[in-house]
Amino acid sequence: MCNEEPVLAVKDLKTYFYCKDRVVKAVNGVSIDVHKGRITAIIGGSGSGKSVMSLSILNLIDKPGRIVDGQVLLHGRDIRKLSDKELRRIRGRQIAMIFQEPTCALNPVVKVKKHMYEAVHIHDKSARMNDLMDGFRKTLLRVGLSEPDRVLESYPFELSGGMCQRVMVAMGLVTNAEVLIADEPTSSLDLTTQAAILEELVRLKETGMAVILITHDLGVVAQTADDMYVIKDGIIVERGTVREVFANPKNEYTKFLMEPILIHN
Amino acid sequence: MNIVEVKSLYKSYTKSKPTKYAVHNVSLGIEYGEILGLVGESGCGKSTLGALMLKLIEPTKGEIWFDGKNITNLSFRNMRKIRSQMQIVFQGSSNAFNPYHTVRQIISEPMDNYTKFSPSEKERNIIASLESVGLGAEHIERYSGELSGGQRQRIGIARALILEPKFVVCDEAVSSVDYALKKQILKILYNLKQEKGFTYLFISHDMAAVNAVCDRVAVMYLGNLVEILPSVNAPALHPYTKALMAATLEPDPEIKKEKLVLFNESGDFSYPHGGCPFQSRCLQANEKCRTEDQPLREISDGHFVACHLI
Repeated sequence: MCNEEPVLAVKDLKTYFYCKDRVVKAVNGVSIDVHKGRITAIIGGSGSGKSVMSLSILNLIDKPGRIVDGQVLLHGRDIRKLSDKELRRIRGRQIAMIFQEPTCALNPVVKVKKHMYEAVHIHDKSARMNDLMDGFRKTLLRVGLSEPDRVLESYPFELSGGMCQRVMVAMGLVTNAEVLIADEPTSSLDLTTQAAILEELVRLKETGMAVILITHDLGVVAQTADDMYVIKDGIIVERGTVREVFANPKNEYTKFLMEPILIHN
Repeated sequence: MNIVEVKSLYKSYTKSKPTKYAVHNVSLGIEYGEILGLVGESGCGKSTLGALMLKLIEPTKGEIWFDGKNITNLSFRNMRKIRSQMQIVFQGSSNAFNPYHTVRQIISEPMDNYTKFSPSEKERNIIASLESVGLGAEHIERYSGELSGGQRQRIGIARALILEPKFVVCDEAVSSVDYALKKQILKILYNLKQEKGFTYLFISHDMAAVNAVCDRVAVMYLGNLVEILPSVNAPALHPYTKALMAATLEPDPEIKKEKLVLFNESGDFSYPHGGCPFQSRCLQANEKCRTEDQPLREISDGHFVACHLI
C-alpha cells in the first residue's frame, strides 16, 4: 500500500443500529486509508456494511443507527468532532458522493443545471447561475456527456441511467472535491455504460482525486482500483494493493470471491 | 428440434403506424433442453422478446411457435391450456409478488390454477420446491417483505418451476444479487435443467453468468438480433458483440485491457432509418452500413452474424 500521508483515514469506525430487540453491528471497527491519486475499492457482499461505512464518513446515518466510536480524519483533522454546520462545508466541497441509484438520487422535477447550481450555491451563496454555465458545460464534457447544452436543460427522467450517473459524477466535480465516494456507481448499469463510467473514474484519479469505490464486483476492482479492502459482516477481513491481494489472497472469504463461476464447462 | 421458435417477429409499443420497434424482425429458435443466453444493453428489447415468446404480450407482426404448434393467434382461453408448460422468473423480485401473500400462497397459486392436487399434496410439493432452491419449510409462512432479496429471487424460481414447465424465461434472474448468491442461483438453475430437462431463455447483461450456464448466446441491439454464437467460447465477430465482450471486466489485475469502450459514445443514437442498427456507434461503419440492411447470415456452423464487414 501507499506510504504517503492519506487524504482521508477512517480509524476503528463503529456504526450500530439499535433495533427494537437487538443491536445490529453494521460496521464494527473498520479502518481504511485513502490516498491522493489512487482508487481505493471496498468490496463485500450485500449486507456486509460497505454502504453504511461510506455513509458514516459523511455522518449521513439516521436513527436507529448511530456512529458509536471511531475517527474520520480528513488531512489529519477529525471531522466527526465538527458541528453540523462545519460538516456541511465539507460535504460536497471536499468529500463528494455518488449514490447507487442515480435516477433515485436526482430530483425528477428539477433540471440538471439546477442540480449542479445547487451543489455550488450551497457553499457559495454569491454564485450566480449565468456565471457558472460555462463551467458546467466543461464539466459535463469532461464526464463524457457530448451535448452539455441539451443535458443541462433536461430533467433527470429524460436522460438514460448512464447519463444520470455521469451527471452525479459531474456534480461531484463542480465543487472540486478532493475525495469522491462512489457507492456502487455501476451496479445497476449495463456493461457498456459501466465501462464508460469506470474509465471516467480512472481519468479522475489521474488528475489527483482520491476515489473510494464501493462495489461487489471483483472485475470492477481488478480493472480499476489500486488498493482494496474486503469487508465482511462489518469487519475488514483483508487489505492490500489490488495486485498483492489478487496474487495471494489470504482470507477464506476473499478466496471464495475469487473462485470463478464455472458450472457447465 | 425447437421447443420455441419465433419467425420474423415485430413488436411496437406505439398504437398507430409504428415507426419504432422494440423487437424488429427477429427469427430465433430454442432447442429442447438448451439454455439460450440473450444479452444486450438496457432497452434493447430482451425482456420484450422474452415476454413475446410466452405470449404475455401480443406481437405486431410475425409468428410464435411453441412445441410444434403455432400459438400466435391462440385465444386467451386456449393459451391458458398450455400456459402451465411455460413459465417466467421476473426481473424485479421485490415487486413480483403480492406483498399480502405468504410464500405458501405465492408458490401454490400455479397449482391452484392448473392441478387438482389435495391440500396435503400441495403442501408436500411446496416444501419440495422450496428445498430444491435451497430454502425450507420454515419459510412457508413468511411474507415476501420478510425475505432477503436473494431469498425472494429463489421464491420466484420455485414458483416458476413448481409445475415442471418445459420452457422457462429467466429475465435478469441474477442481476442485482451479490456474488455468493449469484453462484448459488446459477447452480440451482443448471442442476434443475440437468435433472428435469428444462429449457431456458436466460436473459441477462452479465456476461460472467451467461458464460457459466448458457449453451448458445444471442446478442440483441436496438431490437435486432445481431449475432448468435454457437457456444459461449466462440469468438465474437459483430462489432457490437466485441464491444460488449470488451466491456466485460476480467477479475484479474494482471489482464488489464487497453480499452474498455469500443464504440462511439457521442452522437445521435436514435433508431436509424435504414441500414445497420449499430451504424451510429460502430467505429468501422462505412457507407454501405448506412444504406443497406444486412440480415443474419450463417458464417460457420450455427454461428450467425448480421454485419456487412464480415
